[in-house]
Amino acid sequence: MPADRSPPGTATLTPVVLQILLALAENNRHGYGIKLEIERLTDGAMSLGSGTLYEAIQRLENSGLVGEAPVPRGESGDSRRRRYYKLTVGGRRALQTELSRLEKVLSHARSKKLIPKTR
Amino acid sequence: MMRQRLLRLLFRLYPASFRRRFETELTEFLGDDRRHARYRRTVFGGARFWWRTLIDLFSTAARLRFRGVLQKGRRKQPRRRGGLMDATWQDIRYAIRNMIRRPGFTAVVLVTLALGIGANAAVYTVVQSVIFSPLPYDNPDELVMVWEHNFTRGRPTNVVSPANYFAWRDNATSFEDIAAVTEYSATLTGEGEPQRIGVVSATAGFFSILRLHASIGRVFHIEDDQPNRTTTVLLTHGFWQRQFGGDRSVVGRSITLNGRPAEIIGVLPAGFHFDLAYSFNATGSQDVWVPQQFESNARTFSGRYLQVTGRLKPGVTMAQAQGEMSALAQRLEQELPDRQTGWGVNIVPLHEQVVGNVETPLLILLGSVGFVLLIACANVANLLLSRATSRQQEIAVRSALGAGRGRVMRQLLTESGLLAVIGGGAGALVAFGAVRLLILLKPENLPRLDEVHVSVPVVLYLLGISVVTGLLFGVAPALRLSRMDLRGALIESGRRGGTARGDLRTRNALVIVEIALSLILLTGAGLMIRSFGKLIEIGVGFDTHNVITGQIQLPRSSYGTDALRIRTFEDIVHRVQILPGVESATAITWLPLAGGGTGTSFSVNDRPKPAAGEFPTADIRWVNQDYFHTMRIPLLAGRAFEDQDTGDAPLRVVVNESLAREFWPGGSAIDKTLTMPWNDDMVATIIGVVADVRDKGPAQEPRSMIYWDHRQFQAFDFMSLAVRATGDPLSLVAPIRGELQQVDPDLPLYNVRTMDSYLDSALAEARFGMIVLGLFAVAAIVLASVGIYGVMAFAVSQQTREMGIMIALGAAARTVTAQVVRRSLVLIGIAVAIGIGGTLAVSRFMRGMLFEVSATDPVTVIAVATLLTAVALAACYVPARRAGRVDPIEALRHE
Repeated sequence: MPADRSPPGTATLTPVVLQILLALAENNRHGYGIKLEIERLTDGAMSLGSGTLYEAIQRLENSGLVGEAPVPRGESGDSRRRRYYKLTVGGRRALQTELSRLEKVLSHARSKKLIPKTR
Repeated sequence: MMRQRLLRLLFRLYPASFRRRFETELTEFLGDDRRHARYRRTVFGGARFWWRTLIDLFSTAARLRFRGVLQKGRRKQPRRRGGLMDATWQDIRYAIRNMIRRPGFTAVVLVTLALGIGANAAVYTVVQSVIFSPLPYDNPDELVMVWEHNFTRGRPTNVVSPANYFAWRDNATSFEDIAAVTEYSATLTGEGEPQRIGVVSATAGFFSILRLHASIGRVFHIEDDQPNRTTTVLLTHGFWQRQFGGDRSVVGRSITLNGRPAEIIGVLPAGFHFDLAYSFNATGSQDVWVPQQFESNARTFSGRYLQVTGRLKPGVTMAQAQGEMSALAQRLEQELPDRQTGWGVNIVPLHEQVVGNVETPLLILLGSVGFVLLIACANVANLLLSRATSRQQEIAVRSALGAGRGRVMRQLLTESGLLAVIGGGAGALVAFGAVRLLILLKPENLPRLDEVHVSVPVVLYLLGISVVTGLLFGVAPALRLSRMDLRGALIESGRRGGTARGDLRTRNALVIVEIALSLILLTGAGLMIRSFGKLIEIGVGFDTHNVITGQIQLPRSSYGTDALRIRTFEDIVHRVQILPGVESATAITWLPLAGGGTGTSFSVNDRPKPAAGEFPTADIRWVNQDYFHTMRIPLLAGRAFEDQDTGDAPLRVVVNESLAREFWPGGSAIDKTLTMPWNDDMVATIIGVVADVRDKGPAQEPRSMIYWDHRQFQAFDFMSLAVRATGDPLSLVAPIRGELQQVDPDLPLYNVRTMDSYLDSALAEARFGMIVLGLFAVAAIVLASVGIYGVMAFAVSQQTREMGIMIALGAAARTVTAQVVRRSLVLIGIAVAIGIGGTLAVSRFMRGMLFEVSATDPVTVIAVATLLTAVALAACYVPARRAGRVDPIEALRHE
């Protein structure tokens, strides 16, 4: 797991971490919300188990990419017991770095005509 | 709740810091996941959820805990003084590494264990829920059933007459209270389509005996069962949900049962179901409870139909109660010798009443599945032994570096223990799935099925057998290795010497155990198959194919007179008979195999009248005249009912062969007369004798039976149609319903079933036992074959050198092969001998499950022994061939 121990922003992110950051880019979410959002973004191709998700969240929190957010107003009952997560400034930067790196990879691949045309 | 507890237990696998931080969230997450999962409504939905969750949990927990261990050398472990816990951790890490290093081996062991442990846990779950756990009532040990004991017919649990119930209730002092219960079905109208629902009627004290309260409204009060009151009715939870969508305001409303209004006074708690030994309820569900009211003229001694349940006063023992009731029965016999001679009282604990019939079969299943686990253990032990051989050097090095014998043993036992625990975890999943499947299969006659669930004792049992299993298959290899000759192992460096011989002895013993146990299981399965074959062979005495049946009830409110009911039933039968696709049609009060029926005592007029209490008895059925023809019951003498046998003609009956043979053995029963002591003595002439029908299924000996033409005596407002089709009987259902609508649009045809499906149900218990035992036996024989294959292959590989020399010295390949086969045969022979001994010892427990097959049936035992020998020999074939093909040069080169 080399990506996890490197300082943020300097190396590629694991697919799970990338998806979590993406899921938190627009809205703060609780754990299960993140899972659902990732399933939506990936058309169900990535479905995280509880352990995998929180293991990643723990690492992201420890490295300061993700932080705890206040529970949104209007939530009640069960939802109040959950922790919500948000992207920190560092997290947003790491996501941007990773996305622009991917962008470069993609444009390079496109110029070599490596990407099959989709209808 | 169970799930929560289990999860909390599983979360312990995570490191404490992770657990503290995320436990609540993990719980919430999994709760959501389970609710959201789109597959949750399918059979294996739950199992799939658990499977995914556990895989995820195990892998992340392992990652979090062992990040350092798995990445060997990546991070330096701080060196600490080796305490006990440290050593254990070390052992566990080492064991995990070992397992990962040999994925194939690990997978085989884990699958074997998971199946063995899982099957055990599944069967134990059922046994625990059905037999061991107390009934779900307050102080259930005080609850009993009180039966009349029919000494003449040898029936200790006979239904009770109303007069006896009242006599007991008013005189017995052993009980807090007793209540009379009956179960039947009735037509519900006014709530959409008319439908048939299951009704239980009980005297008012019933619910206070069980100490059961209504979840809404109230249960019966003492006034509810007084005669001539408006009927009240209690809804069961399921019916309330189904019919009224759980509407709490139904209390106070009225429903119409059999044309009469009844006021809803309450709803019973969810899950409440009272298993009754006898039921005339063909709907299969208990929908409503009504008070059992007795008009004063209904408190008779004749006509036994009640089932009585009671609660003993605290401190009163079964024996005391039985003593009091027997004395009471004797007093009644003196007062009413005509009615009561030959009748006693029999008290049975309610628990025994409910589970008594299935106790032995279930315990046999538990024993059998235990055998399968033992065989699996023997196999895994064998696998570990072969692993042990290849690990001799590793252990020798460890010992040489200062590991004591105890330390090495502990290390090895940790490995097997870990295998067992993971196998047990996977076994739990197998068990979940298997129990679900079992509930879906819904074996008939298995009481308390709705109570079957995974409970704390089940989890403890699972844990227990996992640990015991680990010890069982781990100890032999561990002892073997730790006792190894260190110097020899190091010097020989992998060459096989004396230890291998000792190994082989252990392995031989394991294989003998495996084959012997398989033989016992296989014999059990063989006996069940033979017994099932006999049941099929003997049949039920009529042709069940292509017959569709359905019940009709004429409400007395609109069909008040006997004549009208007779005319209506005849009209319906005639209309159905001329439908296209109908070969013939008929009707009977109680269909064979469907349960239900009534009997009568009688006397034969050309014999002296028997003393009171010694009257013979017979079952009695009222039929339409085409009954025997339609059901294809052979007419043995005389004639069947014909057009002229109407109500105006003298009484005529047809009897079955059993009755004719009992009273006129070798002679003719035709034209003899019977007297039935009903309100007025009824005298009837026998006009025909028909073959016996096994009314209660093929396993029950037929009893005396008297058939009446229903036109001569119509006491009933219901009959069952039986229609023989020329083709698919189910295609007739719609046309039959159509005809019924023509006669009366308010008449439902309910409980529509083919006669074949009744036969299926009658055979269900035997089939279920046969299939489950058969599966276990197949598992056993496969495991045992793998076992003997492993041992022979091992033996051959150990002796490659000797064989090479033999061949080099001129022995034919055939001789070498023969030697291996001979050795296998000796093993198999010993195992079969032990197995047959074991079979003779334990198969007697099966006696009650067998039909016309002795528990020590020599044919079965010999067939099974032969089969097993053949399979075991086949398993030895490959190693034997390999022995014959040993290349002497190759074999001796290592010298």
